[in-house]
Amino acid sequence: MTTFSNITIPKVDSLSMTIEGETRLMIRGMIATREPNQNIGIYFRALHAEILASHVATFTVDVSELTFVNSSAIRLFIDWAMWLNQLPAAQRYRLTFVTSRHITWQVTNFSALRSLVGNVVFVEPKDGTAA
Amino acid sequence: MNKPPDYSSPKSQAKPDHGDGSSYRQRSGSSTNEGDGSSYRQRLRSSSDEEPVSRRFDPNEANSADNQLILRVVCEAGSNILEPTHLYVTTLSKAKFRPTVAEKVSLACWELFSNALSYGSVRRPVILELFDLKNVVELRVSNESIAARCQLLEQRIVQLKADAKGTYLEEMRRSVSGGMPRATLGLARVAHEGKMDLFCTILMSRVLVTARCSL
Repeated sequence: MTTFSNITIPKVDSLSMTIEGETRLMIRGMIATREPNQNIGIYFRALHAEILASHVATFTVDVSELTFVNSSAIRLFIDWAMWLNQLPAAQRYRLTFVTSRHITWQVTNFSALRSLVGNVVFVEPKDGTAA
Repeated sequence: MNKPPDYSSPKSQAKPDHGDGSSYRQRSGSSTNEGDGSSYRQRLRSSSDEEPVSRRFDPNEANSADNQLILRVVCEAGSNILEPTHLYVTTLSKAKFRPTVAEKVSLACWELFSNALSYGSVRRPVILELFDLKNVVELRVSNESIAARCQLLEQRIVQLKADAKGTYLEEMRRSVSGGMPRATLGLARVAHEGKMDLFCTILMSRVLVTARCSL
């Protein structure tokens, strides 16, 4: 049993984040706040630490209903990938982002992220196969 | 205390101004030759070589039936109206344009307005305008800034016009390697992800950035 649901989810306007099942974070809405690292980033960091502590093999972040993110929020996903990338391979978990092909920022930015740190991040279009 | 945003209607303010009531043409004509605008055009520098810059500054533009000013927001640099303005523009765009266009306008609104509010001088207002120009939609954001920053912005937009994807990937790579996030990632997203044409025009110490896409 994981304890992800015990981590306090920050309240952010126009954004909803919920833990679904045991190892899935669902993010809906928009990240349109000037400094998302001060709340969402802290939450992601806490999740990452808990995933490592729980020795969970895979974790999924479903952003397919996240319709808008600003460029500061793009950095949140880059940071998460980098936290993983800095770990020895044996300690890493499989981080998968579930995306929508119909939302442009997801297609463009996760494609770029994959090309830069593809060994630690996986992208799974909701209506397609994993990459 | 910050002033509330001015959500002016096109009919009530047909002539774009700088917040002090003077149009670009009027301000530029302080010395000579106001009538035909030639001195004004000489003072402008634009990153766009494809079209005369004077067309984008025509103060009568908003009067045309085909060229409709949908929204103007006038505010102070550093004010806290980015989030509500973005939400308003996003909602308005979803109601007025098809989804792909609305998505582009929403992105451009955040990134351009955010930069202007962050880097604009508090001496003069930041102005955001949304135009429906019959076949294209334009988002224009102007602010006052120091010459060095204006030039840097102009260079970045020239770079983006030459290679939007390459510049975007360079900015992403910079973020991955631990570099500080820069304002130009947002601009790169507008050009590459949003596939919008970017233009930069500098008049004295005022910089106007325009993002345009087809309707």
